Amino acid sequence: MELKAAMHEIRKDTDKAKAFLDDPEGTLKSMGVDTSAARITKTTHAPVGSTHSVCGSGGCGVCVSAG
Amino acid sequence: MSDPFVKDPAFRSVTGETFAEMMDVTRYAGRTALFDGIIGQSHDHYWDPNDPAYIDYTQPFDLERDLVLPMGMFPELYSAPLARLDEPTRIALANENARWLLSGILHGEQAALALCARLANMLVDPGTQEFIANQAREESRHVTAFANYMAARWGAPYPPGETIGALLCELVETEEVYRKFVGMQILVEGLAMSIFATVQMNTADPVLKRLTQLVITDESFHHSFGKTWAELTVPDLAQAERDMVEDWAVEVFETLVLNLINVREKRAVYARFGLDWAEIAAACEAFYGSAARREQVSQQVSIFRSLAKMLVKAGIVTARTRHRYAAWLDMDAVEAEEDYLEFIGDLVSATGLELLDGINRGRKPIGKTARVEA
Repeated sequence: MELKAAMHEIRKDTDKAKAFLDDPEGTLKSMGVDTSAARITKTTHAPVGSTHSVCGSGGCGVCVSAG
Repeated sequence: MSDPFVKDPAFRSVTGETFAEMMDVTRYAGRTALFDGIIGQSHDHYWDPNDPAYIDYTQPFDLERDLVLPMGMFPELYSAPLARLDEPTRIALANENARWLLSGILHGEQAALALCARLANMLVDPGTQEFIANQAREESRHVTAFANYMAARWGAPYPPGETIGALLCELVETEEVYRKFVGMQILVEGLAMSIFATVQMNTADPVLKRLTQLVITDESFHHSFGKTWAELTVPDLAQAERDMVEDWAVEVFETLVLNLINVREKRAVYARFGLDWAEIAAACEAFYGSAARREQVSQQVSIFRSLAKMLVKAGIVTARTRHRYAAWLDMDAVEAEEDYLEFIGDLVSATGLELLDGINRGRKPIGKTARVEA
């Protein structure tokens, strides 16, 4: 699935929206979106307590998309 | 309409210096319906910043072990003088940076409250007045909520940085309504939405996560005011006025970018750790090389791309000013891509409305002491 189509689907579906906010990359992958070009690195999370692995650009959902 | 910046009667204004104009009997019937939908929804996203059913500020968070926001949001932490610090100090420094960022947000919320209160006395249309008065009321709960959060985590906020402090004063105090609309309703509100979306997605602090969710749910309605003004105004402006809007927009954009990335602005943070901000700034230059400025912004890329994208969509970036944005961002990419932070903001707002619907069903709205029943 294309990213744009996936975003449209997520907007319309509250459960998918919640899933995306909790796990952007996993949700997109589960919808068949190719996230291989996304710039996701796991360099900035706290030793304890981070809820998301985030990229150096400052936003995991954003990086998945901006890749 | 003699004001060259007014292209729709909903945005007519007076100086507000005298009250007599507001009692013009012909004024009351000339109410726009442009904002009635948003005004009508205001109770759907009601929340009380002092009620633990909405936000419980007592939820614990260990500032010595955990990051409020990821280090990646503060790129100077990777510069040589800071990268060599021990891990507990770097965590403490990152959390002080978060405190500084959120202090700026608190000052921005206070400015939005003050600006809306002034506009309510300047805008002529009763419908626009009601919208802006309602926004002032909602900004006031954001001030309370962020002040509560700062008190719970750090005791007190930082004073504003010189640059952002001066900008907020100018936006509140200017008599030119277009400068308020462009500067606050479009740019500062837009930047705040982008920061809130980024913070909401990335914070490990459950209190801040809930706080930003609730604020986004309000702000998504506020932000539409600026968009509506731009849609109804910018395309019909004469060239001279259009140039003034574009120039003011890029000036505010540059101020906001500089404020967020400039180590000098945050010197109070580094002074707490006995660090020399000038040394850190120089190390950042060395770390990023000749493309230092642009590279630093790319670290905050999502926030500023979103802001620039919004200005592009509003028709406020043209060939005249595009090169000034391009000094910071890849504008070809900005113009081609989706606005992902807006997308995230929409999702957060939608889930926030659902959350508030559930909480508000159990609320007894009787007087100021009403609280959600356990």
